[in-house]
Amino acid sequence: MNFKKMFLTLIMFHLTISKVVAQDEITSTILQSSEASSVINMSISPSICVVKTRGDLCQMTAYVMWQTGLAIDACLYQDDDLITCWEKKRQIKKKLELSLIQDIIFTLKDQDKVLAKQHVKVNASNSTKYRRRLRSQWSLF
Amino acid sequence: MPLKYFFSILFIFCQYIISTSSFAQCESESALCAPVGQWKLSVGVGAGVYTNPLYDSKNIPLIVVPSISYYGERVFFQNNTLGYTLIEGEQLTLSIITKANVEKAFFTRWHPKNIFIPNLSNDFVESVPSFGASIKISPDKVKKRKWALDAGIQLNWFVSDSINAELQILHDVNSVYDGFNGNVEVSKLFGVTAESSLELTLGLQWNSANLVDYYYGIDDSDSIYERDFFEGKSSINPYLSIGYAYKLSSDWMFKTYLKRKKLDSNTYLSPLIEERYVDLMFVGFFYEF
Repeated sequence: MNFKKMFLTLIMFHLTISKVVAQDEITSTILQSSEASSVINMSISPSICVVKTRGDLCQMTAYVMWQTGLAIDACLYQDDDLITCWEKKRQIKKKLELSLIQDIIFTLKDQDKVLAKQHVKVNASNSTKYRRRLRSQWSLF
Repeated sequence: MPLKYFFSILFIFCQYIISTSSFAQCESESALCAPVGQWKLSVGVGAGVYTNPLYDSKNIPLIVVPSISYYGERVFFQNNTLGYTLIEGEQLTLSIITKANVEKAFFTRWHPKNIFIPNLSNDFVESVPSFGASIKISPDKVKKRKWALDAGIQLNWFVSDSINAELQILHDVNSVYDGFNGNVEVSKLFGVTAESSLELTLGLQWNSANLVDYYYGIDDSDSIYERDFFEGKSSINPYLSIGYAYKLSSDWMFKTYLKRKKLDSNTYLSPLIEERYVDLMFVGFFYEF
């Protein structure tokens, strides 16, 4: 093998190796992106609503934020009720007008796949306990 | 069976079948539930009447009706009843209670002018015999009846969120009539919301012979005529009531209430009594302080 053949062989080997590595790098990037798309950071703020007395209607403005590595289709649900959907979004910040009586769970879904969940609580500032009345309101008579 | 054994068995029975979660069903104030540790005072203004079954007696007008209630962790006070809850569960509650016996109310002159007129209770009876009719005697002409303070137990059975069965057995602790009285009733609430409620109640009120005889009997301390004598006997008086309340604002509430009680013959046949039915009617507006 002369020097020229040896040189060409090394060049070809290098190119081949480079192509494989490049292919591996591309594949890795795609995988990383794919993994990133399943890692959704979602938050709803504030996540606690304070009412005077338990059972009162809580009305507040909250913000839902989520982000992901790749653009996705997703829908936001308040318990089982659909609030809104997005198409091919990587991050969202949306204002929500909430009316709650009790604790509720917000779920971000891609069709039936649950991507993220967030719990919003309703707390009563008045910690009054209640008990059953034992006499009729008309018991004077 | 002695009474103390009856109460012991009742107490053990309750402990077996009730749970200890006291506030499981109440999360806000309503016709069913009261806030713990808060006095509730309201005054109703409207029109109503509490009919007086006694002969020669005027009905009791209801213009202003006060309502006071307090529910502590154990102690409770609602209008005429002061109680202490021994056992409280989701379905059964056992309390000891005390309250004024309302039979005396019929013998009390409620009109303001009567406050200043001396009671002629020392006069001998003036009975009113007539052909074909029984003798009637005015309560003003007989020995004065006293207020009695009753005490005993109350059992509440919350059959469901809207049905409450109640049993009371009471004895007069100040030995006015030396007897017993009791009450068993079932109440059903329809359409209970924070704003309105409709309550229907069916009940039986029992008065022992000693109670009926003390308030409605006639003996030689009341009359010199033996023909007037009447011995009261144990009586069971059925009653029916319906009440409706609607919250107009945070302070004002519209309420109306109707109640009819039928007197047992063992009470009704007293010469002191003229009417068989005792009715209560009220319609008005309550302001809550």
